Amino acid sequence: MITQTDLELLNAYIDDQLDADQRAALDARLATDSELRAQLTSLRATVAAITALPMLTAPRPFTLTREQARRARALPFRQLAALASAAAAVLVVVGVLTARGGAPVSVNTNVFSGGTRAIAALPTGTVLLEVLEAVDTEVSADSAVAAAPVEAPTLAKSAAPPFTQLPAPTLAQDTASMFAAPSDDDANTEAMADSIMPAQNSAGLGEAQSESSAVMRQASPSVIMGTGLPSPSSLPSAPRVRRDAVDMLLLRIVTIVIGALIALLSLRAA
Amino acid sequence: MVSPPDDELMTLRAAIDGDLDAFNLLLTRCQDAAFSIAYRMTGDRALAADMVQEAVITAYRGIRTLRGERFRPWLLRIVVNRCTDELRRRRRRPTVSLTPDQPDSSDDELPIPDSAPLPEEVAQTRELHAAIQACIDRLSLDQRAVLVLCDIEEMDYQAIADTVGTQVGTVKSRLSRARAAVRDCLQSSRELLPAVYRLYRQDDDRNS
Repeated sequence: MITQTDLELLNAYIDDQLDADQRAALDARLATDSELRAQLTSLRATVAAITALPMLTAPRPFTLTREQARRARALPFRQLAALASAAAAVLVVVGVLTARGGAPVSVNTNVFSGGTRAIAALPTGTVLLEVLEAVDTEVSADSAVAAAPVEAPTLAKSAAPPFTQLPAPTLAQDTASMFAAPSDDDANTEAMADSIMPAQNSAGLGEAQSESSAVMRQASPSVIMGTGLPSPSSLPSAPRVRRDAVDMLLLRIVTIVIGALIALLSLRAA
Repeated sequence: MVSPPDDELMTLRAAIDGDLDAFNLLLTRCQDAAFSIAYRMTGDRALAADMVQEAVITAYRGIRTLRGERFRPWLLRIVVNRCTDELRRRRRRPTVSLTPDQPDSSDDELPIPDSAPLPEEVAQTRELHAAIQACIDRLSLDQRAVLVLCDIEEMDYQAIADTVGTQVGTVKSRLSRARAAVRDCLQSSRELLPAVYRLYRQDDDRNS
């Protein structure tokens, strides 16, 4: 029975690639193993037949003329075009990933983090309201209603819409994560999921309606966000913000996909 | 790595420094080998010529990266890689037949050695060469590259491993499979083969 190892040994034997010990061992086997010998013979004949193939003559000289050499050294148009489109794709992706941040992001992030710390220290909604009043006198009516720890049965209804309509915290997380780790897909995806699925957040809020302090803790970040923004007039309406956030996510996803495709195609063409 | 002899070294340095004549001189010394390798890889003269021409342009562009290596194996590596890439590309987009149905026998306008062979012998030899090439064409690209570099270019295992970018163990494995496949392929058409090739089968039969 001839194994693949035997075949490799026989070929190395033919090519004189065995060391002395291996060669001696194979010689000993060949002396007694007729099947191995037959394999060696047939392989030798095969190698002899292949190596006897004639060296062909080049059908034309492949030497380069001055003009060919000049053109060879110059970057071909195709490569230039490919590199340019690859660079353009990268620029578009980088631009979309960074251009949506800017001033609002830094404001939101700071306010959000500050607000969270404030809320964490607050045991009751009453105190929270006092803080809210102290922090911002321009709190919007919706936010104030949402934040008020009164009429517990209706709280879920009233709290849910502002929470869903004001995805500012998630927007801040989203954009902040873009700045913190633009290439971190997991972080971005997580932030995207937060802003895409506010319904789940509001559902959770509804379950917690009997615990007003818990509701306050959940509702308060959005309230704080609303209060912390520079002025209500400069803030887009809540649904608009949400749509913008979703649009931005879609735009980013589409841009990244298109950019990656263009870059891939460009590099393959190059 | 075998160091180039002095005259090749000087020519090589000149080529690396941008001397086109030096580059062409190095090229003329191995363009037949490059074409032979390309033909054995592709089984098609026209495609082989294109592959060599493209490889030459690639080599000229990258000649500055050639340090401490001989020109010939370096160029042949580019040729083999170019052929492999092109054949893979054609396999992915099979708009053109990968291998001609009829082996391209025009390569065997060979100068048959020895004095004045009989026309029948010439025909037999051509037939054998065409049969061998057809068997090589059936190999996988990886096996084909290793077989051609070993049995046509007569590189050692380490040089082949360097050329195709793999380990010596892989070269051994691919080579043994390739040779066994060519052998089996040739044996399947042994009636078409000249008696000189069939001899070993008689040996086999005797031995077994």
